[in-house]
Order: sequence, then C-alpha cells, then structure tokens
Amino acid sequence: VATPKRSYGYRSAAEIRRFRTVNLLFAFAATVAIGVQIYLIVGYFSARSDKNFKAEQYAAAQTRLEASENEVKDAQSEYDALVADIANLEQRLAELEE
Amino acid sequence: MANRSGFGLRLTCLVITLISLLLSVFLGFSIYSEKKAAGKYEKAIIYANERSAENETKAKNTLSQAEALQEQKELIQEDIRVAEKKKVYETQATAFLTFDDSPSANTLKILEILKQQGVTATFFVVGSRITENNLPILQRIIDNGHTVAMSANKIDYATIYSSSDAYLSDLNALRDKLLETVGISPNIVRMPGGTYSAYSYFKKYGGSETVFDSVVEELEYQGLALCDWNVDTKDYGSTPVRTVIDNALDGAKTRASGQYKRKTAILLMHNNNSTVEALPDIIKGLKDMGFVFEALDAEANVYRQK
Repeated sequence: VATPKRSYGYRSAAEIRRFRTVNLLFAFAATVAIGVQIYLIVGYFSARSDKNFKAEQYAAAQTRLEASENEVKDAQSEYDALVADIANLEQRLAELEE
Repeated sequence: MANRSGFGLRLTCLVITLISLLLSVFLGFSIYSEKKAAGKYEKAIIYANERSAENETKAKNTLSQAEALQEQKELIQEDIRVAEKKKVYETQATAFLTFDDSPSANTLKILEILKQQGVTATFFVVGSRITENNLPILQRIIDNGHTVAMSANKIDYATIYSSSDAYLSDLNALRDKLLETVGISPNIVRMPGGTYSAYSYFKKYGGSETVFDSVVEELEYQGLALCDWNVDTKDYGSTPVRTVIDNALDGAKTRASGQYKRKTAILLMHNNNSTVEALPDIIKGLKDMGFVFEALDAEANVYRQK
C-alpha cells in the first residue's frame, strides 16, 4: 500500500484547515493594511488641506499686520510733523510778540 | 493546486502588508509634517493678530494725540494771524468805521457811499430797529461784506444797566433776533454809551460797581469781544457836518501820529443825516492821510475804554 507522502496537492483535512486559516490571517492582515492606508491617505489630505487653510489665514493676518504697522508709522509721522510745526509756529509767535 | 495558490496568496498579502507598512511610515511622517506646519501657522496667526491689535490701538492713540496737536496748531495759527495783524497796525494806519444804531433808512445811503469808495465797515445793530422795513437793509449790510456787531435789543439805559441779568438777557434777545432773521451770531459787542459810561450806569442803576465786571466776565466766557471807539466824530445832535468831519480826521490823525503803539482809529458814527453828509469827506480825508480801511475783528483790533 502506498504511503501517502507530503506531495503536491495531497494533504490531510486538518492540514488543509490549518492551511486555510493561515491564508485567511494573511488576507486579513493585507486587508487591514489597505484599510490603514486609506485611513492614512485621507488623514494626509485632510492635514494638508488644514495646513493650506492656515497658510491662507496666516497670509491674511500678515497683510493685516503690515497694514497696521503702516498705520502706526503714518500716525507717528503725522504726530511728529505736527510737533515740528507747532515748535516752528511757537517760535514765530514769540518773534512776533517780542 | 490549493498549495500553490495558497502560497501565492500569502506572498501577495505579505507584499501588500510590507508595502503598506512602508507607506504608513511615509504617510505618518507626512501627516506629522503637515500638522506641525499647521501648528506653526496657527501660532503665527495668533501672534500676528495680537500685534495687529496692539498696532491698531497704538495708531488710534497716536492719532487722537495728533488731533489734539492739530487743534493746538490751529489756535497758534490764529494767534499768529492776530499778532501779524497787530504788527501791521504798528506801521500801517488803519481806520475802522463803525456805525451805531443800525439799521435805518440812512444805512442804505451809508452803504451806497461805502460801496462807491470801496470801503468795508462795521454796523452795530439795535434789536428794536430790526423791523420788517429794515430787515432787507440788514441783509444788504451782510451781502455787501460788512461786519454786523451787536449793540442792544432795546436801548433803555435804566433797564439794561439795572443788573447783570437784565443786560445779558437783552443782549441774548438781540442775538436770538439776529439768528432768527438773518442767521448770524456776531461776536463783537458795544455797550450802549460805551464801556466807560456803562460802568457808571451799572453803578447807578444796578447799585454796585461789581455788576460791570461780572457782565464783562460773562461776555468773555461767551466768546464775545467788547469794542468801544477811540475817535468820536460826535455826529449827533446839531453838530455841523464840517465839525463832524474835523472830529473824525483830527482824531484819526492823532491815533496815527505815532504816540500810540498801534495806528488804529476806531471811529464812532451813527446813522444820522450829518453822518451821511460827512462820510464821503471823512473817507477821502482818511485815504489822503494814508489810512486803509478794515472791519472790526474780535481778536485783532477791538478797543475798550474801561
């Protein structure tokens, strides 16, 4: 009687069940890996979109900041010019009143 | 067959899992980088917004200080204008023709003479004279570019000089009438009889020497300038026209002679027939003496006897 050998396509039922279980585990791992990939890709695009939105907000805030700095400079120039004008006018008035 | 496809499947799954692992590392790093950059932007936005708010407050404060300085500058400019004018009066003889008891029928004749001579003057109006007939005359004074100043609403010495309140309420009545009829609120006032006489009248009818001072104080508080005259033409009663002319020219000559700091002659005239007759010669005589003519200015050239 020929002894069944471990040859191609010839295994016991228990081996076949174990074999299938391992296959299922591999398939499950691959599926989970693909799922994780999808999750990460979505996460990446979401993070990138959030960053771009913040970048736009930052650009706007920067523009406002520059405008406010110009406002301060303009106000200061106006103030300084008035101080200088008043000094000149006071001198002129003192000369006239002498 | 089961064996071969089983290993193929495992290999494929293994490759997929490994590639996924690598990709996960890459994606994880990328997500971390993006989130880190977003965090940096967020901090920068907060900083920029805070700085912007600080700058806006600073600019606002500086501008409000500048506004106060602008007001100060305008006040100094006005002082300079007055000082320059006063300086001019030290060398340039200047005549201020003033006509009390306006408006009246004679005011029209006076206006015509002034127009012909190209001279501006000041008219002190009396409220009781602003009648329906005289209203167009008052309007003409304004339209011809002359200055309107206030005398009293009703010239009744015993009443208006009886107390500080009586005087001020009479003056307020005149001011209200002027605002209502021609829409102006003059800032020059001449007390009937002049300040010197008014002082005595306040003492006589008001019973105290302090009434005059309190009235003057209140007028100053209201921004009103009191103005008398320094040349009296005496163009009332039966003074001959020639005398009126001489009074005007002699008085003005004295004021311009150099014995006073400023060569300003504020001529007191009325709305009488003798005024109308004397006026052309007075203007001619003053011009011949080198006088220029101006209307009164509350800041630059008012004069008080008391």
